[in-house]
Amino acid sequence: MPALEETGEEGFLAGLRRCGCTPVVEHGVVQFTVTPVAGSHVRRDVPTGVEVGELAAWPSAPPHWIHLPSSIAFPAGTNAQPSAVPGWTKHSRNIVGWGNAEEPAQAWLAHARSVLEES
Amino acid sequence: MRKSDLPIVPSKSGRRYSVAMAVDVANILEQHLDRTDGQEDLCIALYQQSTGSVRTTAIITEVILPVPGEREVHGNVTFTGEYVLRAAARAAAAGGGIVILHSHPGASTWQSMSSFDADAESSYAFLVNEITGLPLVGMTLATGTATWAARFWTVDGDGDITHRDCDNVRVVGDRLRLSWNPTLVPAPAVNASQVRTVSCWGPRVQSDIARLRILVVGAGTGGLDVALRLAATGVQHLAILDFDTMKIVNLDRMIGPTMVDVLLHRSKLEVADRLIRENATAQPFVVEAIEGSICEPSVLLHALDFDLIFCCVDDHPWPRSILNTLAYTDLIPVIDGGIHIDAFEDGDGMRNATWRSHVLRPGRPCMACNGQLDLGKIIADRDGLFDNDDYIAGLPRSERPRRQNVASLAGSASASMLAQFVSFLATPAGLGEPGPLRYQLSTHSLEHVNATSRANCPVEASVLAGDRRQILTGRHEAARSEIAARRLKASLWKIRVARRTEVALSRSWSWLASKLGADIDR
Repeated sequence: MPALEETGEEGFLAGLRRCGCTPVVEHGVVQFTVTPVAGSHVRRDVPTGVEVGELAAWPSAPPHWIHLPSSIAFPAGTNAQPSAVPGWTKHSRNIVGWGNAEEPAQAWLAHARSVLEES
Repeated sequence: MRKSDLPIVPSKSGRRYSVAMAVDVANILEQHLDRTDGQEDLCIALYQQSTGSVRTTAIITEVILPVPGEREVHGNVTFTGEYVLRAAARAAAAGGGIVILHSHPGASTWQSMSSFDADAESSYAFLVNEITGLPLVGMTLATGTATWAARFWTVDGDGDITHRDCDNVRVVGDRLRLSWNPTLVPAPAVNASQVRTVSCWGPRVQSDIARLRILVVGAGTGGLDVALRLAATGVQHLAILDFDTMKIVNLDRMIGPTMVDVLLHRSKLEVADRLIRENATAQPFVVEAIEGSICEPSVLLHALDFDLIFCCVDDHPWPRSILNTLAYTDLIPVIDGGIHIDAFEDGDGMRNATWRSHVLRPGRPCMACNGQLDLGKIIADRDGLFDNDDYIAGLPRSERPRRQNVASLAGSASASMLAQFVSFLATPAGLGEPGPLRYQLSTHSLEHVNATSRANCPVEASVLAGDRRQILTGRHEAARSEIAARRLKASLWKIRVARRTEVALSRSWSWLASKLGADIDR
């Protein structure tokens, strides 16, 4: 079974660190940066985050909402709500096919990058 | 250790006990304990505890075979304290407990302990409890029929050690192999209404099925159908779990509920409870009607008390994920199934319909691995988004929940689940459950779904975790709101009067039926 330190918020933070990120937790949101490889933010560090409350079941159930600065817009529109982080918005995004990554945090980073490529 | 009977000891607290193991673990144990030279043997195993609301289960996780010098076979068997300490240290490191197992060569029934057995096990019970923090479990294998017996050695606050006999031992593979404690869970007598059922598979299978504690999660179209047929088959202890309310849109699929149930704001549970009692053939028969959601922690705790679960919830990912996980972490097989109707987008015609069924257990792919659960949608469902019309309207059409169903096909889905159940218990032609099945209506073809477990599946990685399982449960707001709204409607004076009138009429009919029934040759 997965070690307890690999699950929940601690597991998510540990995974991000293994992937080279430096996550911080503020306003109940784990915040870190990703660097898209395509789209309007290509090769720029973009801050993003997920709510701590969505990490209890990590990695069996990944977060649903992706938090981004409100300056980032999606031309196609999204289901969006205000984020707990001032000046940020959280966007509804389902991840298809979750659950077969050797490093789940890496899969989450790939998801965040792919969402940003739509912006 | 020698054979001779000590009294069976049920728990004074009412708590029940059980042991479960996967078939690959059972094979290792039985191969070691059932010696070709006919002598008694012994070994130790590790377990994780699974604590339900009234039952504690030891889930055996790993066999620790003795190394030379740790046990001696001389017709009977003796073992060293070093062996016990080695295993207890391993168990403590894994957060589990230990099981001491020995054989009774040639025996064929559930074995009580001899005084030698009791002395040997009790002498280590306190030490093991101190090291692992969990009770020592003792088990005996009757090698003549591979029948297991088991007991927990509990230590109370005064340091007194008592053994608590288990209800059963469950070996989970492509079939569910059961050993029953005949004192605590005696085989029921077959009654006149079960004669044709028993003629299909014989009294041994019938007594296994009858004694299973089965939970049906969901009292909708599929769950009600499954529960009624289990009750008619002769299951003695059946539980059904739901929070939803009977609505007029349910009447074209659920067989048994009426418009009266809708008008009286009855819960699906209340209706199911009534219909199950009317269709049960077991005597005595217990039906537990559990109002709530499997997503709530207290209800999940209750689910751990059962031997087998049917997953008949709709397509909500959150409850499905909890049942999916339970099958692997707590070794309670879950029979899941459902129907998908593919209607044309313009609403004029049907492209296809498929129904699927599968048994979730270690050795078979979980719901996520066989494509029946999207783990990426669990949190959205937990947050109530799939019950939020504004949210659903914002989803692409392909991702919106689908609720098409039709009575003339719904029975096929429940029949497929029940066929899995029969294969799992009755093993026709010696074959157990067949793996995931899918029926295609358009071509009328039955397919064995070629699904395998993914290498990094987080669900199957948590196999046999027991109480160390990851917590997926939480406060299920949608369920609580539904229950509260129904109770409010049912509290209106005209509904209360109508309900009382309906109950009085029903009792009158029951009285009349009992008078008529006296003339029927049963």
